[in-house]
Amino acid sequence: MNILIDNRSGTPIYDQIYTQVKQQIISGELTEDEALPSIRSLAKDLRISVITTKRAYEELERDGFIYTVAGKGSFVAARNLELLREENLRKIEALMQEILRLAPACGLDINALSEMLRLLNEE
Amino acid sequence: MSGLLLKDFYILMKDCRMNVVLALAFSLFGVFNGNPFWVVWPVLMCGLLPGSIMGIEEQSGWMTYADTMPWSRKTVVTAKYVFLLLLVLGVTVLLAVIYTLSGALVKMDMTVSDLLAISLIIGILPACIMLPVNFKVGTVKGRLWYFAAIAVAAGIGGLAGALLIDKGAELPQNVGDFYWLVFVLPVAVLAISWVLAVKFYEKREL
Amino acid sequence: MNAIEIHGLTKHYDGFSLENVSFTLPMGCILGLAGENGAGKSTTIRCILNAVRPDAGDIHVLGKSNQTDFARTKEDIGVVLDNVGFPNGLTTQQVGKVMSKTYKNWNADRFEQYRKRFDLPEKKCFRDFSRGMKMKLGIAVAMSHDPKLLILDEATSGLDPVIRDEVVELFYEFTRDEQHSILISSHILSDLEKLCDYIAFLQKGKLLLCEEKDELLSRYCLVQGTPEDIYAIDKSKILSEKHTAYGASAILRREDAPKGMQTSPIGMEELFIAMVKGEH
Repeated sequence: MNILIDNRSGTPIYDQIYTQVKQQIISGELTEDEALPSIRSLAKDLRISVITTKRAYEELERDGFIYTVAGKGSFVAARNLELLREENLRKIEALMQEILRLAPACGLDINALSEMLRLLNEE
Repeated sequence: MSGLLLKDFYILMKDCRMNVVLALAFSLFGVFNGNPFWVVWPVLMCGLLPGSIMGIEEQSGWMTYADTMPWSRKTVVTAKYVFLLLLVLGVTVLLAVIYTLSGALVKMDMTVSDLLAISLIIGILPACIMLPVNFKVGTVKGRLWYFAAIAVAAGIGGLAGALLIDKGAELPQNVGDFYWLVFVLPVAVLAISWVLAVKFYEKREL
Repeated sequence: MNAIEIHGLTKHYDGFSLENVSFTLPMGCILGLAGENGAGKSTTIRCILNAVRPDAGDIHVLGKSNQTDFARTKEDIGVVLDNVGFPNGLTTQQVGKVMSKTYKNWNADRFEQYRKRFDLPEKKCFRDFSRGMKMKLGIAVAMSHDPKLLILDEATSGLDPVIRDEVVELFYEFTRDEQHSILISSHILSDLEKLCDYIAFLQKGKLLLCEEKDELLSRYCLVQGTPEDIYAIDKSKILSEKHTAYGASAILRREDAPKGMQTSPIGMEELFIAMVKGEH
């Protein structure tokens, strides 16, 4: 598992962990039922507080990405297709927003954009 | 407690080596000299050593540090009293052995029980005053209290003696019958001193 | 069970009082006690160790009151004070021997490992040690009897940066075991920032805050801009501000930062200086 903490950014550390672990689960880098490092060893290896890693794991579990077995640790939850779909929908929506933001600068209206999309789809 | 005793032994050998050497030397002088003075001096020196060791410890800040270790304050106090007894009785046994063997005891016109009596009074009594004082206020302030206590004791003793003589009191006819007091009294004073020292130290803020 | 629980701790001296201090160190965590010199950190620690009797309040260490059979509890506590008080005439070897007769769980091999790692001479007298060496011996002793709780009072001040880093690392590793906890007081905030899960900040005998360190630091930020930008911010929201010939900056809560202004994270030292100045 690769986690990189950026102390300089304004994002809370638990949020950075949450996001990176989530990404790796969704992309399949972390496989179903794979064991995650314990809250303590993750904290110690990353040189951060155990409370922070605990919070990150709690949020991941709350959102269904991991599950915890008492006494054994935390594991990657089954690739919940619904969750995946939601995630991808969110990404698509964000990209579309970006397209709509950039389009006026190139003089593209909504019809021109639809045309471009249709052409790309046929390739 | 054995850790505390070992530590006192190390301090004794390192910082009080001269005292030990002198005590032994004086003991030996007694063999040849036959003067009872040579009995008194080593015993007195040994009796004062625990107080000196406390002063040395205080300089290092040991008392505060020892307070964080798994001893109760009672144990810390008791260890000093045990060390006192080991030193004084130890030197007494040494004196008894070498003076008996060398015949010096006979020269001084003393018996072994006389030796024990002297060591109890001279070796143990001063420490009985010093140790509780040191545990209450530390060795630096303790010195002042110590002298004050001696002055008071001397004053009381002198007054009592003068009053008794005034009143025409006579010495009991059979002083010999009261000889056992000489052994019992120091032990009683030691016990009281220990109780006081424990009480003082348990209340002390370090 | 918590490693340390303090409720309503109060202690009066002439000219200084510790007032109603309460905080908890959960098991497996590191709590840093921060504050200026004279804020009450050492007094708090002395109360925890029962070296000093408080006027009010109660303290529980490792699940037991520190008034009950505390000698036994101290078997599991490793303490390093800023004055390491081993008798001046003893050598490292002798200290080891005395300690082996003191603690039930004394581990002579581990002590020897620390001695070698810290490069402490075996036969030199303690009085001839440098301050750093004295501290290292204190740390070696505190960690060689399998303690569950380390109480460190200014244990890193007086150490040079390389050794300090090593020692901080050692303490950090100590808490890999979730049964191990640390209470560390220091006025060197960068050490606390590296180590701690919780920060308790004392000022003039009062506890200003006791919070999770990461949460505390992420709650505040630094904004920089022109003097006008800073003036535009509601004064009551600003913790502290600074004006130089080249611009201005202010420390405030992240949620109070004006939208569009650039924010940067702040460290503990900056935050506390801002809080202390704010209190004045």
